[in-house]
Amino acid sequence: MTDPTPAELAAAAEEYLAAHYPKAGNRGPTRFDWGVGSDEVRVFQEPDPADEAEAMPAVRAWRQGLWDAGFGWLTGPTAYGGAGLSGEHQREFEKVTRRYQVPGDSMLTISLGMIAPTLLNWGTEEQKTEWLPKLYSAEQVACQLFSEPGAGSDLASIATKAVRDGDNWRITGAKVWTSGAHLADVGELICRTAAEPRHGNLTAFLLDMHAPGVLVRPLRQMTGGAAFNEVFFDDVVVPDSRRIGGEGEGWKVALTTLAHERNAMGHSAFGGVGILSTQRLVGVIRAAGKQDDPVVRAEFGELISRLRAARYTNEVIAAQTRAGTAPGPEVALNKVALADNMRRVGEFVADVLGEAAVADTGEWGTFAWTSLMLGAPGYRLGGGTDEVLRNSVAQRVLGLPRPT
Amino acid sequence: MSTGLVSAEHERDLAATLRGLCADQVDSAALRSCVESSAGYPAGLWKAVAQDIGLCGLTVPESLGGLGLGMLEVNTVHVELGRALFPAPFLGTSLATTALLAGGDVAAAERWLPAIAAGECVATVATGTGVTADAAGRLTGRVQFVPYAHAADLLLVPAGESMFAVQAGAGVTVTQMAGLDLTRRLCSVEFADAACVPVGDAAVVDAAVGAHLRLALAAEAAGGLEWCLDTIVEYAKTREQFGRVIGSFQAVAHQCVQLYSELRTVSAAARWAAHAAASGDAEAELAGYVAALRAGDGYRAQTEATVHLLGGIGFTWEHDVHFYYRRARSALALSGGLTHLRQAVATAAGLPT
Repeated sequence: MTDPTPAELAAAAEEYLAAHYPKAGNRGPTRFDWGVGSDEVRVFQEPDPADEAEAMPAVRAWRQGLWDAGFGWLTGPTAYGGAGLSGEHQREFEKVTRRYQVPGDSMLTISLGMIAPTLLNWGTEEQKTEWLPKLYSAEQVACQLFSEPGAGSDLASIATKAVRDGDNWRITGAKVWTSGAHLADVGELICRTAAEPRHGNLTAFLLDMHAPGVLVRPLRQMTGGAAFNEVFFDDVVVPDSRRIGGEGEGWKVALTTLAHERNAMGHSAFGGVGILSTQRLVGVIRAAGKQDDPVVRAEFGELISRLRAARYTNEVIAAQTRAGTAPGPEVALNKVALADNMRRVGEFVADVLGEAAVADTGEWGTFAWTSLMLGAPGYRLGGGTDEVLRNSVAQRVLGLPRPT
Repeated sequence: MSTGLVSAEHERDLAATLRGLCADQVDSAALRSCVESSAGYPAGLWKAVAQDIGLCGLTVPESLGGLGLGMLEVNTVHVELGRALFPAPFLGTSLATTALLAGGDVAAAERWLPAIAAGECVATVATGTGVTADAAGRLTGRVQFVPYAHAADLLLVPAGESMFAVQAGAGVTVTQMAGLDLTRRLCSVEFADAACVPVGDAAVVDAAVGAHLRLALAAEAAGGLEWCLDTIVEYAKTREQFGRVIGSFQAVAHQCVQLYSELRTVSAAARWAAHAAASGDAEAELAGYVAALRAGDGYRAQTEATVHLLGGIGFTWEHDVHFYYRRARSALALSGGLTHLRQAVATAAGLPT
């Protein structure tokens, strides 16, 4: 059977989606109208746990349906259940999905954007055959168990221990700041498998989050939400068949996941038509009646130039990637730029809104910006702090020596 | 998505040719001898570039003897020229080509563009006001900040509602201005009853010239920032203080990364803007202002950071970095300055007045 062309795929997707989901309204999702719909401006998805529990089955059904219909992993290798198609097919498919009211993949970003690609890079044939279909069909949802109370930016100093016990490993320790652990079925866990310090003797596993001895506790964030957690392991048993990569190769496995994470974060929609859209910012300025203030105009221009430049940078990199030049460790700078732009947006909006940014007047689209102001500092931490990412670029791209 | 965001093979060839030429012939000593010369650029090298490579015909249509290329190639060329601070009357000539094409006067284009393309006619454009045309079609008044007017055979000057072409000679007096940028000469031009020919609507031509200027200066900034990065990384890896190379200090390393980050952003914004202009993208005007603003601000800040990271040697006349700092400051002013560019981005992004 020959592969469909991108247009044929789009037509098939249209047929599938039309049969299962309602059409999106006339206003496309890339269009934004001031005063219409939700005025939420969130950096992180922080649904109420009850809403989240209610939403998850629909998200799983969406992925399962796509998987069964052959749209679940368009660019994946056919050996592991993918459709073996091109990025162009993927983009055509996404264009069609935007025309329908579908649950979408935002709750599966870690699962699909970070853990699945890591398994594709590092998994055994058996693991890839078993787990990639489970992840892409959302039969199983994954989280990332990396940071610890004593090992945030200095990830190489993690202390959670895995000790060999025949064909099994026994795991004891604790992780923290784990996004989505309360929703996950499995987690990519990095442990220390011998006393060797730092990067040596770390090993990665795909841990069953429902196994005896795993305890997940929500952590309240400064935004007020509870999208991340503490996770405790009390003598948790993991079979050796769930080891990702070789014993002692955990650091390399973790770096693969982190590279996918930084790339995904830097390419998020924030710089484009999402919450930081030009129209939304214009709406704030007009609502405050400051469109004729030359200082506000100049600061708005400065801000837009930075948001646009970040988007252009991503697009040029994407074009280079399509032309065959793989992006390197420098893509971490996209995430640094995005976090910086979020901070700048918060500062600009706070200045324009004045008191309306600190107490709710009930007016649409004003006090809602406090979610962004509170969430933005977290974006500078997640996926690596600005300082850690700059060190990485200094050493790995510019070839400067490690600090002594 | 068009491949214009990535340079095509012919652009890479052109860039390699220019880079090789600059590496051979525009070293520090050559640059300094240009700075000290009255012409401000080496006639022999200019002849090689203009006539042998055909650089001046870059955007001249093939039917008029040029290469018939567009803003993507302008981007590529200016990155290389900016990297080397190549002192030459190319920018004015290139802007004059755009002015003659935008004006839409076929006779004027046919009269001058073949000579420009052949490298036989150096041209330049004045953007300021201050000149008036009388009923007999003669120009009087003064314009300033005109690049390489002292070397130009043809000057394009706005007066009232028209753009005029004037040939160097009777009624045209050119004086070189003392300039901050020692590698790009600016002139004051006095017209006294000078003969001229109208070549198009001043506002239309001015808009086209302005857009071209912003894209060219943004590309030059990207090239200049490449020079800064190469220079500073090399220095940070070899210069020792307190018994270790300075690049091992995190404060220094992070400034190098900041420079690299600005280079990536400026290069991408300049390229995206050139791509948008070449493909007629609806966002082309906004993209051009974004590129000019990010380039203007980034180049200014990062040439200053380069002086700082080089330490005392960077503050001497002997080091070339001051030529780049001068270029950056001068280019930002020529593209309108920060406040103007910020306001222009706001308006182009749709903030109503």
